Amino acid sequence: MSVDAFTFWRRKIGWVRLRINVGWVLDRLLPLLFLGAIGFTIAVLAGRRVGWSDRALATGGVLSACALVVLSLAQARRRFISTAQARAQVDSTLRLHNRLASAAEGIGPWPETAMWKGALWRWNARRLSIVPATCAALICGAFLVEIPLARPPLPPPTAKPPALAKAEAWIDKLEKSPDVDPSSLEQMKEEAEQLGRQSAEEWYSHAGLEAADHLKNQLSSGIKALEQNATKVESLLSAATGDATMTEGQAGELKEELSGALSALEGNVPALDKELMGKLGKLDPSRLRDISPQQMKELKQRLEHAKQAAEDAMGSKEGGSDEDEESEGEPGGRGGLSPGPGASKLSFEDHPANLSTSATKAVENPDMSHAALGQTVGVSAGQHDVDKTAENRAQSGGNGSQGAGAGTVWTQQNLTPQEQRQLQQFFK
Amino acid sequence: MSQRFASDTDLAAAGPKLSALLSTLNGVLFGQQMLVESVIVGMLARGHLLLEGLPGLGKTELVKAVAKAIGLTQRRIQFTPDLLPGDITGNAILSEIDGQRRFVFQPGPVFANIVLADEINRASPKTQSALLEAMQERQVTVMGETRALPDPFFVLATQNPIEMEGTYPLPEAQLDRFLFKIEIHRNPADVLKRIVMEREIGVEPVVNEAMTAAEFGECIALARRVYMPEVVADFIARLVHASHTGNSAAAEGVKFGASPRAALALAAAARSRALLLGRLNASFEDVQAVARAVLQHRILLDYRARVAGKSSADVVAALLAEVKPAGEPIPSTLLSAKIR
Repeated sequence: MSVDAFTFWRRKIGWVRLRINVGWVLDRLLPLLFLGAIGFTIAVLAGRRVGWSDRALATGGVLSACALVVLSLAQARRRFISTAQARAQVDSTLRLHNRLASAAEGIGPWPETAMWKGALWRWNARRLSIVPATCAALICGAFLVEIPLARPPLPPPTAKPPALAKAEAWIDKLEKSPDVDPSSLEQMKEEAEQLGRQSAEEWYSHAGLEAADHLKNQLSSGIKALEQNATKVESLLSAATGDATMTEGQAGELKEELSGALSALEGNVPALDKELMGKLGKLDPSRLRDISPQQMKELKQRLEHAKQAAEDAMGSKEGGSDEDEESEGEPGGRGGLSPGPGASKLSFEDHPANLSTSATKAVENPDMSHAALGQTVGVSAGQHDVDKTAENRAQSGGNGSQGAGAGTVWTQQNLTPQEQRQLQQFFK
Repeated sequence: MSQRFASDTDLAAAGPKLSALLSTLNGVLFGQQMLVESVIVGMLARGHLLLEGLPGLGKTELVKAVAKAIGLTQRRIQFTPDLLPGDITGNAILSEIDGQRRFVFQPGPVFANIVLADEINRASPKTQSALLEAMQERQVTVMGETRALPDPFFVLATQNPIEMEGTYPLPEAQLDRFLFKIEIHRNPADVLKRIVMEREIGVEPVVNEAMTAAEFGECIALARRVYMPEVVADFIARLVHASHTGNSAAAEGVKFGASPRAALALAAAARSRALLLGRLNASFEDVQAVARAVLQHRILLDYRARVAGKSSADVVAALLAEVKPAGEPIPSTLLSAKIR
């Protein structure tokens, strides 16, 4: 009996010790598991968004769980009980009057085996189930919830703003033309290069876009002016050479117009070739007949070439429109200088609200004696200052000003004489 | 091993006598089993007892019955403010012996195995200290001559908890000399009925001797040999340690906690109780059973706790609830229940 009881109680004490120590591990593990599950859930959601595979995430989760178990084991070791403590625990719980402790020291017999009640060390099912279930729900939810993959960040823009590209293209074309002075384009070219040297992000900054637009518009205006003035000079030359009966006065006018067009061409950017400008500047309309047809033809041809160069530079369409630029450039969304469609409407309804009032009444309170402070600035007795000398001149329909000194008073007289009579009759 | 610790044979010899003593005393004092058990436990631990209760609850009857049941001498001292130390310890009286006048020591009532110090808090501190010194030293010194008190020597002091006017409350240091402070409560109606039926005023009950004084002395010696498991000693140590402020939540409001003497008293009382109940070892349950009687007069509360209506007994109860016998608590993942 004694040996059997000894073996029995030794096993039971070992069982209680193991159960309590495992209980401590679980006691430390559950909070860590809960925190770990929250962290892992966040990691799964983030990982799935950036495209990590479920397998990799699950492996990471298993490794994390193992790490938590090791951590909780290390923490729980401090609370682990020895065999003597387990014996004391059994003694205390079963109220054995420390007979186990005494018997272990050889004093007195071991208690009867019937005194054992293993059900006293039950697992706390509620505590042990709630946390793992919550963790499992969190993690499963993280794996099952639909998460769109994150878009990769937009690459930096590679193409220059359309305005700048267009301006550079125009400058290139104009420089190749022999009838355009390349030195006149140097400043614009330098500005375009300066804009082009900026970083890609700065190209599409507000200031960058504005500068490119301004450069393009400036160049476009210059090219148009070159084209117009060249055409004008050409037509003036044709007129001067074609009219044999030109009087002195006409010749003077022609000369004046020609010199105006030439001076416009001279200050223009881009400017005509200096040699051509020099020849044109020496022309005297009254002596144009003295110029050989060959020379005139050459001048006209060169002007025609300059015109053609301007047209070529800007394309077949004159100058290009904003719509063209938008269609040619990158898709919208990068901002620009053109204003929007205008201010939004102030009313969301088509018709004004009907307040069901048929008459308008003025509310007035002539008694200011009971007015509170601040309700009126001051009270004074007086009369309206009416300009009785003003003429009451009827005008023939439409809008008119009535009373010279009225200033802002406007009426509308759209009534026919019959209608006016009807009105007078009514108010009588 | 059998010499060092009490054995089954020792227990078999002492057990029936102690059981007979218990049943004899319970037959004298009705309905006070806990009081009787505490008194026997205290005496087995060689401790002095302080009984606190109203008059007429059977304190003197109990002391007389104990003395008769064990075959010990007993004396009763009614403490009054004019009681002198010599009235307790005895005086040297000038006597004529063989034609010569000499001072002869006349032993006081303290020279008895059991001294009932009735209403000890009514005597002056000087007189109290004379008795308390005798309790501690188990000897008295009169006229420069030291005289040993009879062995065993027990003082069972009483004090009235309600009439405090004109009393001299015992200082804490002197209270510590008492092993137990036992509160005696009123009897319930059924016990009173039995008293009315079986007792008569002025007629003392017949008490049979359950054991001799020598046998009781053997029991006292045997109680010292009852095995104290280390875990129980650890429990006592933790309990006493926790009685000091800051060491436990239960000690909130405690000015002075229990002393090491209290720990020794707990151990001795636990051993004695184990012997009385026929066990070879002291246990957690023994410590818990005697903790209130041992600790309540050794724990001093601060004024805030006293004003709040807290008592030392409340602190002891809280300590017993807070300090787990087995030490380490059970993890929350396990459900553990005690057998009631």
